[in-house]
Amino acid sequence: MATDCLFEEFPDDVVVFDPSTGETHFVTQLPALILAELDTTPRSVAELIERLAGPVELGETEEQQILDALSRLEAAELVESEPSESD
Amino acid sequence: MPNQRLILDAGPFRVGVRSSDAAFLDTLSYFYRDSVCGDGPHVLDYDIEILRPRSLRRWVRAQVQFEIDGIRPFDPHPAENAFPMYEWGLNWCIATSAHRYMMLHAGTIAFGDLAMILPGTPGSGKSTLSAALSLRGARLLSDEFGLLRPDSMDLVAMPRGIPLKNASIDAIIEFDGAAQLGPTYPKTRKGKVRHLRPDRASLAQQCRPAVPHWLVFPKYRAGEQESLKPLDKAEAFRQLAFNCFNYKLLGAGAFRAVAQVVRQVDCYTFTFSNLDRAVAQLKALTHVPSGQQADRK
Amino acid sequence: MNLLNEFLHDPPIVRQWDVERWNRFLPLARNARLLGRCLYLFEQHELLDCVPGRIVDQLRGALAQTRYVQIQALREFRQVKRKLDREAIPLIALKGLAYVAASLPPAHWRGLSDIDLLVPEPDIGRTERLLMRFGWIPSGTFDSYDQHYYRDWMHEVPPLRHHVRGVEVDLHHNLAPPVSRIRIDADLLWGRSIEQSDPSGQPVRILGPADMLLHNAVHLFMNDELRGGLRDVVDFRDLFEHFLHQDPEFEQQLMVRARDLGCGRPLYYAVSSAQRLAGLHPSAGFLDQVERDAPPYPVARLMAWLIEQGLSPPRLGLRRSALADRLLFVRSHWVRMPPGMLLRHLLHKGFKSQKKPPVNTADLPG
Repeated sequence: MATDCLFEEFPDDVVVFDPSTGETHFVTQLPALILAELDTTPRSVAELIERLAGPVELGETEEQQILDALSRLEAAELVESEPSESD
Repeated sequence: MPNQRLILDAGPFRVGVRSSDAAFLDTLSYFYRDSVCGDGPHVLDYDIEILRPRSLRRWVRAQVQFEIDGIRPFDPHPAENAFPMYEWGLNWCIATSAHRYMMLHAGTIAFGDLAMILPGTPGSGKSTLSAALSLRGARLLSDEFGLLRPDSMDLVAMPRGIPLKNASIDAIIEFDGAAQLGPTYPKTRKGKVRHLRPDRASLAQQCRPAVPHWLVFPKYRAGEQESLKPLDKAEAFRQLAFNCFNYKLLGAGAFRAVAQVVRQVDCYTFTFSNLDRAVAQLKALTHVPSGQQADRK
Repeated sequence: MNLLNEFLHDPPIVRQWDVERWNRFLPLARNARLLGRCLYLFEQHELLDCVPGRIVDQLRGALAQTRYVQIQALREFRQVKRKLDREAIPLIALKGLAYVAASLPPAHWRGLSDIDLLVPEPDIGRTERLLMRFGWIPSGTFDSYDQHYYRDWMHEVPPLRHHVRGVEVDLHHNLAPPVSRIRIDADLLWGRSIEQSDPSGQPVRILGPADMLLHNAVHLFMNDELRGGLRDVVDFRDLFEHFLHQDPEFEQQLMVRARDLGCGRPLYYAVSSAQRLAGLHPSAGFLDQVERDAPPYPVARLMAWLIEQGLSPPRLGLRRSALADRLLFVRSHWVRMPPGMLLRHLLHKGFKSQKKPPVNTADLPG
């Protein structure tokens, strides 16, 4: 999904145009990072959190922020969730 | 009176207007006689008729209708409001078809060949500000219908009568007692309206585009001091896109064009309450002393 | 036959057009929703240099609008399909949506105002409930009579639209209503349907080529009042030529299929209209066969007149003959309903205004 989007970067914001929906989105850093992570490979939520965290151990609030950002991206149709084989 | 027909250029659009309403034709002539096309066949963008219905309403509480392509998209208006109805109707025709342009809800004013874009929702004061700037020597491209060509990134002029509403009418008269205003329409759907006649020089140069150089988001705030503040580019993007009628329709092209505009021009918000001070401050921004006619060469 | 039809028959004719003809052409093409199609014809025939610049701008403006509505339609389709896939409800994209989703030639210029979908009859109630659970709501207000009309007599549930996105979704389980004088066996349609990929690479199921053309014919000549339908006739021509180009036996297949589905009469109307009004050149043999399904001669003549009045007014603004209006209106319901139902329907409709509210000038700039 994200691979087809157009991006314009400004100091604190990234503006994203999604040609498949015609929508324009203003994404601040966290959603932009998520989009970048999911750009070429789908990932499970756990994998995503792990990759975003890097060496740092994330607290519950921070994990929740990632989940919130994910739901907003899903609502904007910028990412899609698929049931995994274990579901 | 028999049907008369005029063909005039509203910026890039060639408009045929037919009517038998003498008062309407007089008003049309007052505003636009300088942009009437000569004789000879002309290809038209819009072929408009302003007509009286064939019913009792032709005479009793008389009405007029706007007709384009044989259809009547609006409710009839009282006959005395024929001119405002024509203006709004033409705007509708343009807004629903001219997607060759990015259409901005903005005043656009040129200083030489450089343009200031003044986007704003109703109440922002952009029309009044555009009117005032044009009265002090700037070239009027538009008061609320900015036309940007995405391929060449320039603004095309469409100087029209500037509709001033309610308190703005007095504000402009106070600003310039010699301002040429058309008839008063006390009871339109937007309240009391009077139009400022587009000046000759602006009309004469309506074929000359201008390059965007300043982006200023005006906000009229009664009693407040004038205040011009730089605006964050991402926020300028957001607001410019919001003020573009066909932003969503034009898709990727509009996205890129808006980004390009905000990157290449200086972006500001501008709060104002007094037209004299406001014009002075905006002209200072363009480094042109107040009152000079230099811009209209 | 008007200026637009002349152009469709023979595009290079515009080389001889004067200003007055161009001024007549633009409103006709705009009204017929063929601005985008005309731009492509000008390009295909290398005629752009003859077209006045401001008219080209108008055509490009219309095409920009078309691109936008196509994107929104495909988006809506994907959203609906995602929900239906989870419940294993198959669906077939119809009409404009199909042309665009399957990248058929009309995809270049075809606008849409809604999306039409075919689901199996046993699943249509379930589909409607499923969509309404996920944010689709009835589009417009329908009283209980309208509901009855749609559900029991017609082939549609009342249209839905997503409460945020707003694109209208029309669900069907057949191409001709159960109560009409044409009975199509929907299983046959499913049997010949084919799966393609949409522009984003996702699967989309469409009708087989012959069925797609027959649907066009049935939709225009058996359902609606023909208003604004020249575009559909042009679609018929474009698709016919495309499928014939892909398969020289296509005319025969179409004929056989029309007989199998009981759609000989609408095919006759579609072919004869496309030939008269949109520059279609069917082979003589095919025409002969198609004409065997024509109505008796006096009816055929009347219909030809009505169709021309409806699809190709000589000029816009001239009031179409009031008689033609009435005849068309009555006829469009006649073909859909048995007489007793028709009377009841017309009596009820007589009390309600069908007009769309005009634009409110208070919303305009200025």
